[in-house]
Amino acid sequence: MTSITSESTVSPRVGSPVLEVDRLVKDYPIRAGLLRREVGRVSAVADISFSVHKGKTLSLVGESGCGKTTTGRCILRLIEPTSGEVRFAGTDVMKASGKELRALRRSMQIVYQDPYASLNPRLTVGSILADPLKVHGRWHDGGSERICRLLERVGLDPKHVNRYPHEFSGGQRQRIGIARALTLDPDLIVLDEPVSALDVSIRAGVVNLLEELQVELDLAYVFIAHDLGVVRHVSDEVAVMYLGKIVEIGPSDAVYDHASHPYTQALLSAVPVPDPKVERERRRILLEGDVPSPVDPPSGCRFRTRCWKAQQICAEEEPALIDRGQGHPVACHFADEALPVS
Amino acid sequence: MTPLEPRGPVIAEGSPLGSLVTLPGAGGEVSETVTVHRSQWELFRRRFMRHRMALISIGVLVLLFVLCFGADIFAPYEATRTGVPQDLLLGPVGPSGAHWFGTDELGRDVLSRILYAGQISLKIGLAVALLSTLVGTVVGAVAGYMGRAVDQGLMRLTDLFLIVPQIAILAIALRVFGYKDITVILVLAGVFWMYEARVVRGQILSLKEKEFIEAARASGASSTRIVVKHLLPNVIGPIMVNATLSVALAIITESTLSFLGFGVQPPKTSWGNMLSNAAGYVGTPRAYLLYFPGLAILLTVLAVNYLGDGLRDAFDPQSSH
Repeated sequence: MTSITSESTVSPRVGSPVLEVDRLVKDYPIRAGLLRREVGRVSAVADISFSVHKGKTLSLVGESGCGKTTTGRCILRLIEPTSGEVRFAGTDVMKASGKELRALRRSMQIVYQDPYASLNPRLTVGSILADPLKVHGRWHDGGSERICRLLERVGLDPKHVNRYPHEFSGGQRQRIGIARALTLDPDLIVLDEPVSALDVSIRAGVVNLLEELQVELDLAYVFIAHDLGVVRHVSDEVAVMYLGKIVEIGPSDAVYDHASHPYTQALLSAVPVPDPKVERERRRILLEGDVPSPVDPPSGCRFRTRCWKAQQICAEEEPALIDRGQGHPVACHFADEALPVS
Repeated sequence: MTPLEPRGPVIAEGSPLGSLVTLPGAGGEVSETVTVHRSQWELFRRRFMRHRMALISIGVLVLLFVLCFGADIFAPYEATRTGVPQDLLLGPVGPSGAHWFGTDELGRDVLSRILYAGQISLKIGLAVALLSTLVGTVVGAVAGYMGRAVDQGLMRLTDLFLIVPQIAILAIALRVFGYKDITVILVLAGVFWMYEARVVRGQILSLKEKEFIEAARASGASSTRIVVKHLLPNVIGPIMVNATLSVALAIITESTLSFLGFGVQPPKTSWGNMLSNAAGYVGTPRAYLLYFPGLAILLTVLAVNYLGDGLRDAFDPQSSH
């Protein structure tokens, strides 16, 4: 399939990224009336850019409705974006024809959040895993052998190929979902909250499996999550999203240790600390109000309606996502590591 | 968690999953870990074979078919060009040794008539159910999956067929094309498919938003493959229920046609026809004329019903059977 990767595991990974997202926008029109006239637009993803390198993980974090999942779907073109570019290994995904897209989908896969909705209840595990191989004409090339190996690799008993999804637990189903994503030797996997629906006790197992697979197969991950603890554990880079925009992006340690956007700071302060003593004494930033409607996002900075630093300029001018001396890009006019005094 | 078999180095070599596929030189080691991957069809058949009533029903249907279509051999009184022989002097008498199901007003053997009538009723009932289910499923699946303009177009067409008076269409079609079994089948299927189409469309509409369908799309599956392999097996329950109902409905509707003078004409007859002819005998000593054709219809519909149940359960791996 791909070239031997031994050299790249030794040398630091440089060169062109495997995935580049450039000024991606996704609006949903709101139609009303008899003529289905467009009366407004929901801005789900508003002009975001990032890139992911081979073997690396970029995490998208943010609260519900901030556009993380939409971004993931747009990358695979399961949702047609409004504008922007997605390049996979140099190929423009948005311009790919039907045939090219099918070929591209061999290399880009997705793992879903809900392990119950993402597996066809009428197909056996074997058939679920065989389907991608059959679609791409690779079934007769040792397909059934491969399925057994895959099941084994994700920690399931290959004897269970003839079982149905309902005969497995949530964690096992998620492993089946991961195996399905691996059947076609992808280079990139979009992990859409892969452990959010799982019991805390089995999350670690699935996360570890994902990390092992990443190293073995040199996979690039786009990891979508809202569990900041897990995110720090798995990410090389983190992008924090708010209302369809990236507000802060950078290497995982930089974003966690030097959070400079008020929203990132608020998010991080909400993560519980296991030590009860620390937990009792630490300061939390409580945001007021709700996330504004994406139909009519605030002018200027989208976070200003809930921000304790908001000034006149925040309403007038949208802060660019640039490095303001923090070492990584932040979209805030008043980016500052210092936490508010409360 | 079963650890990866002791071939760690193979993966460390770096060739992505390919290594998981590559067989080592010694084939023996592999064959131990490989279990037989059964096809969907095989599992389907296994589940069906466990459904006893469905198997009995197949037997009953086969028996009915053999008896009816072999009526020339099995009927106690073989039909001639003018139908089952009459015995006007005998008239209607109840069941006896010579006439198991009795005789009708013209002294004809009811059992023989039921066997000959079954040729028409079975053919029409099953063919109409099959054809209308097929058309309805295709229309419903295409409308539901494609959505937008295609959906609108197909559903308005369905509505159109639903509001036009069916008996009128049937009568006109038979007037124009003349009575033939095939005409009746086509016309009845033409007025039955809409119910199936609406049920299937509704189911597909909700199912296609499920993540496993998106996953199939993400793996590069074509629309046809998604509909046939991933969507329809999940809709088989409602499809079967509807198909079963339309068998009975077709047999009965055919008799309405005959009653109006557009259907089967004497001396030929059908079960529905015999039933409606005997309708006036309710509560009289001749009610047996009503029972036997009714029983024949009941038996057929029940058998088809259980057969449908069996098929539905065989498609559903979560069924208790």
